[in-house]
Order: sequence, then C-alpha cells, then structure tokens
Amino acid sequence: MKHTIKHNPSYALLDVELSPGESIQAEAGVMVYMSDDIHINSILGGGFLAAVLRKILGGESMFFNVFTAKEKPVNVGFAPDLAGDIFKLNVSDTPVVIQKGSYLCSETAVSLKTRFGGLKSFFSSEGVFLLEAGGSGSLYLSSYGGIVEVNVDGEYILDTGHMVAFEKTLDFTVSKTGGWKSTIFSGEGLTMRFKGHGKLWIQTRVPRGFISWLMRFLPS
Amino acid sequence: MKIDIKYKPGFAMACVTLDADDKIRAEAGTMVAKSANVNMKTEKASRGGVLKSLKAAFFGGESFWMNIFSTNGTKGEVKLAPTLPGDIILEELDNSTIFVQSTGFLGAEDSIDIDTKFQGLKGFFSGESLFFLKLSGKGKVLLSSYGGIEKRNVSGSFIVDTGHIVAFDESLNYKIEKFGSWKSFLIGGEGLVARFSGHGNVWIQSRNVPQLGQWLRATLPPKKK
Repeated sequence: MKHTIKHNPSYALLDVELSPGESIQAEAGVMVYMSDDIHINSILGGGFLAAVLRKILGGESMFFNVFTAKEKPVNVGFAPDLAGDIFKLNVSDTPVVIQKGSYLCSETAVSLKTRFGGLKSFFSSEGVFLLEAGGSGSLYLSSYGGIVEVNVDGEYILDTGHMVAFEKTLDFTVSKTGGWKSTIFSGEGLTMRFKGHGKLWIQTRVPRGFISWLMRFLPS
Repeated sequence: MKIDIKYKPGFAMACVTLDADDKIRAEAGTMVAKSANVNMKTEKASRGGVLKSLKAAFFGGESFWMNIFSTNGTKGEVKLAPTLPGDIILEELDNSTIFVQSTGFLGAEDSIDIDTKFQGLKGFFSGESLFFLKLSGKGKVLLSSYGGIEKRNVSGSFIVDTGHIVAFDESLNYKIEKFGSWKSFLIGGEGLVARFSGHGNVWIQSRNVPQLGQWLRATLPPKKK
C-alpha cells in the first residue's frame, strides 16, 4: 500500500494506492474520490454495543467503510471535514488512543475498539469516547490545524481540546489549569496531565475554540 | 496578460497583470486591490441577452453581475481572491469547454464565453446547484477551490464525491449514483457520488463545502427564540 499526503498542512488530502486484494478501512463520509474497480463494504465500528454508544453519545456514525481493490491497482482519496493536516502512524506493539473525530482511516490489520474514557474524559469536553487502535499497520489521523509530536518522559500538561492521540503507555488525569482563579479567568479551562513514557500528538487549533469565536458574530 | 498565483494553497490570491488591450472578467466581490489606472466596469455575467445572465445568476448560483477590469492602453494590475480559504488554479482553454461548479469560478479572460448548463435531475439529486457554469473559447480561466485543488486525468471511469467537484472537461460524461451497494449507500455516510466516464480532466477540491455547513449546523447551539 502506497500513500501520498497532498495539500498539507492546511487542507491535507490522503491518496492511497491499493494493490489487488488490499483493503483500507475509513470513517464514514471521508471519501473524496475513488477508482472504479473498488469493492465497498460498510461495517459496524468497534462492535455492536460500542457502535450504538458511539452514535448515541458521541454523535458519530456507527459505521466504517472498507475499500478493497479487486483485480487492478486502484486509488482512493480521503479527507476530513475540517481544515487541517493528515499524518500517518505505524501501530505495532503499543496501542494508540485517539480522540473521537481525529480518526481518518487505517489498514484492516489495525483493530479498533471504542473505549469509554471515564468521567474524566466527560469533563474534558472532547467527548466520553476514545478510540483505541491496536494490532499492527498504518493508521491515518487528522488534526484541526497542524500536528505536533511530543515525546513525553515524566509529566506533560495539555489543553484538552488540543489532544489528538497518545500511546497507551501514557496515563492521564483531567484537572484545572492552576488555581480556581486561573481556571475561571485564564481562558484555559481544563487540562490533561499525562504521566509516563510515550508519544503524544497535539493539534495546533481547537474546533470548539473556533465555534465560540464564531458565535460572538452570529445573530442570536 | 500575466497571472501569478500567490499564497497557495491555503489562502491563494491571483495577481493579474493587464497589458494594454487585456480584459478580465471576475466574479462580483472577488477584487482585493487594483492599480489606479485599471478601470472596473460592472456588466451582466454573460454576453448576450439579459436572459442569459439571469439564467447564470438564478441557476448557476453566480452573481448576475460580473466585473470587467481593463486598462486604458497602459499596464496595470488587479488582485483577485475567492471568499473561502483555499487554492486557485490557472487553466488555458484552447477552443475547448469546461463545466464549473458555481463556487469554483473566480475569473476568466474576456475572450471566454460564460453560459449555464442544466444538469437535469442529476443536479437535483447531487445536492449541488442544478446548473453548471459553462466556460468555452480560447483564453485563461481561474478556478478556485475550498481547500487544495487536484487535477486528475480520467481515462475510463472515476468516482468523485459530489461536494468535491470543482470542474470537468466537456469530453467527460457523468452520472449521479449511489455509493456502493444499497447497504453502503444507506449507512456508509457518503450518499451520492458522481461517476465520470470518458477521457478528460476533472478538478477536485480537498474539502467539501456542504460538509462544512453540516458540521457548523451540528456544532453551533440552536438560535434563541
């Protein structure tokens, strides 16, 4: 499987070339174009119960589309809804935990599980559900804005809305930024405090930040 | 006429240098700046009768009026930019015809003829405009995209999500169809797609305007009554 990422970092588009028999699984609704000779199958994402929960609580589609090349090599293009970049991760020994909305597509050898983030992620306002990618293979994630990779060794603090994904070797807690005064007036809201050793991926903008900026200009 | 496209691909702007007899027609509201010796005249979108321009405005989703920029025998410059962020691409038509989705048109040399083409029921089902702008003749054409723009040469058959189409050559046929099987069509989240067949180019944008609208509607709080 070959891939090219174009038009990045602002409006990235992923082009995947599949050889006969190869497949790629993608979030519902992200296909931009495809060659004619492709077989499409739509499957439930992450088990039935998880899919239903994803739909009801996360507002996401319950389904993924699986694109498979038949006799000829084919191309398929993917792009997320919002402006921003796309990047590739190789999942192998360490599973990667992904914020909902950042998952774009992955090789079928990558397994996806919906994970309840617990009450702590409820308060992080990015949704209660996280996606956990295990197995091995290529995983493509999208970011709102640019993407930054951080190697955490010890502790690291991140604004909740900027989180894209992290390696499962990291653990996190949600807390307020500083004192109560800072939490209310600093404009930083809640933060995630990561602990351990592993990689963390950050997006340079936050969708809800854009929405609250936009709301000030909209007629009520 | 020399056209230089800057600030690609996120926030592209076309810098058009006009020679003595050059004229460029641009979508209303897209002028950023111009040199003082460049004249702007507001005319109907299409040459020919009022009806043709009305048709382009009403059905093509374009403005009824377009602006024509020219110099009076000197050299001048006009800068053009579309409303949404994204790229601009320059194409040279050589006695050929392309069809452009309404938001994909930025400007064209005066020698290019602008008309509309009814898509029939296809347009109705695609969720896009019922009409395409039809650009034909010999000269420069500026297309704009929401996001990046990708020119793909189609030979045989190729499928594009309707919201990502910017333009296509007249030599291509297309039909609107469902995405995959009935099951995938209903649950796959892609809805309807366009299948292009024949030989020619299709211009694809890397983001989708209706999808942005959908995201905004879903994310913004409801209006207070």
